Amino acid sequence: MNGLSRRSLLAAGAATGAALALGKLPAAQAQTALPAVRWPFEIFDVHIHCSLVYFQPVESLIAEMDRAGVPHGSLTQFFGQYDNEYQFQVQQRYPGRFGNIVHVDGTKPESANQLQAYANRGACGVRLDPGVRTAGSDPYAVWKGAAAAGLSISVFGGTVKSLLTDEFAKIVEMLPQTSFVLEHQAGDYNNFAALDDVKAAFALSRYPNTYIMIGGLGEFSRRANPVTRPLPFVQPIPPVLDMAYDAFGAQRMMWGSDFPASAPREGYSHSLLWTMDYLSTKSIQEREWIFGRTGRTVFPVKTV
Amino acid sequence: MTDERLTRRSLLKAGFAAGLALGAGFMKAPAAFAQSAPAGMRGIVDAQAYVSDVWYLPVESLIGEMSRAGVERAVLVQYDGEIDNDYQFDAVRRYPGRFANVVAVDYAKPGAPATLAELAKLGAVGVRIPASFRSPGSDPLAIWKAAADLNLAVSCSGTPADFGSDAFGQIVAAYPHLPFVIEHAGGAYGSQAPIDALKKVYALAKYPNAYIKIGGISEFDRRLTPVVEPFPFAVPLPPVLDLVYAAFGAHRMMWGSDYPPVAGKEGYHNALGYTFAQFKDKSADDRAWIFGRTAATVFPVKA
Repeated sequence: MNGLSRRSLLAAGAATGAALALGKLPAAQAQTALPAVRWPFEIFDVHIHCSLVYFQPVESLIAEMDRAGVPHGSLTQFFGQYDNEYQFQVQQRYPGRFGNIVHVDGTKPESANQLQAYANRGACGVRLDPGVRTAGSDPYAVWKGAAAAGLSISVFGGTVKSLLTDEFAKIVEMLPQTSFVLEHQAGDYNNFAALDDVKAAFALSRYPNTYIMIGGLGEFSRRANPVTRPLPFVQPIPPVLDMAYDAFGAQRMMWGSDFPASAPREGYSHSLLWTMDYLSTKSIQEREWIFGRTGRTVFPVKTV
Repeated sequence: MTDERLTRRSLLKAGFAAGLALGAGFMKAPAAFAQSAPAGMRGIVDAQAYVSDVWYLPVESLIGEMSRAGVERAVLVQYDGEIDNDYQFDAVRRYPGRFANVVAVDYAKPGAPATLAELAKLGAVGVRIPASFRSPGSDPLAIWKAAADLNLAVSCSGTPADFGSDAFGQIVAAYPHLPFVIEHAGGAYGSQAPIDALKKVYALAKYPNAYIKIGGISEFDRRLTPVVEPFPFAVPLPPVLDLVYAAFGAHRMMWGSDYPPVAGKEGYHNALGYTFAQFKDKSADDRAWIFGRTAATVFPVKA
């Protein structure tokens, strides 16, 4: 890992785009009042939250994205929030900038029809817990509703183990035309999952319609205390990203900042820069997939 | 205390003006975000905010949140585990008049008091010390004594057990001219506020040099799922704010956002707006102290 701190880069006077091509990071510009980063390819952030009643409003998100040189992303509704109107408002207010991943109460039979209505309004995805089952005659109605509406499904159950059920695999297999995005390293998120469990969850890559979302290193690494520089994590970093790459490959990996939930960790810019740095041995074409093209393909920004 | 909820939406509906013209050079709020300081209040000071170049978010993020929420100044408090204060000093220099600087040192080192003296010369107005900390060597109170000798204020982190211990009370009593600011309402930081333990903490109010910080509602109450609007927390609220007010009074209370950790909870502006609404029935003068004057007095922004 060749993590570079903002200070060291300032001192070295590193350029932005050229630095990336050389496997270095334009971190200096990311966290100062200097001009925003310009990447050699377009970054797409597949996992961002905004809200008026919880987390931060979209204006906070826009400021972080601009500083980090991220032009586009997908708004991902936070769990428990079934009112998606703010996300639709944001999508309209910033046309062409955001995809919209809504959330519904999947236990309710009407949720399937609701998803079609959301898709008609410009949603590109729905966020579901892998354990959710719809009341009534068809327990998979919400999953099928997402498929019928042409939505990709962003999946998170809070833990890796939540994905390790035969029933979830059956759902993935049942809907082969639907993209299933396993969020947060398949649930290795703030819980330091056992690598054997992570590996088992990554085995879902056997289904070609599965994808993996990766975030900042802080999602699965412990912060060093006292703080260390240039990288503030306990070394070695768990090999989760390597495992994800081996299982899914670049064209089925997508990066998401998890802002503002990443604000109490390494923050927006570092969630991008350090993850990019960790994968700096990959070709620039592969990084373009991981940090842009895959996300943009699975969660397209729709015109509303 | 009422449970009237003051959300951005309700403010927007009420037609509050943006009122964010804090002066030339400050970031202006985007037009779509018309939030201003609650009730148009001026002089709001955020007593607990963090900035960093390796963790959390940079100072530009904080400036943006403050400007959007109508917060004029903030106290930069060094975060746990960080003893390199250069970035904070840099932030203070880059935004003159907006930040007070509460530093941290490696307290376990024998030279910690001397290091603290150097930081005070550079403009630090406070130091963050865990309530349970005792210095190595012959004088376990050496770092506390150094803070007192340097005319700093101490921002104290800790649990209710730390704050409520007899030993901590003795330290507060030993340095009557040293302001001790108890963070996070005395350790009420989590979804289950231990009220009995907190009452023991609030007994520290008998010392006139004891102060207390309050933050957002999420520090001591849980968010409801599914989300409830306009106020997303379980009600009735645990009586933390009532107990704090009854013990310390407005002149020894100060609000702090806890940004950016609060960004992962109710967010900056709601940490201010939701908490401000809980003091609706207090006088304007009381609110002015809680949301600005106390912090400005204890942690002054140096020229």
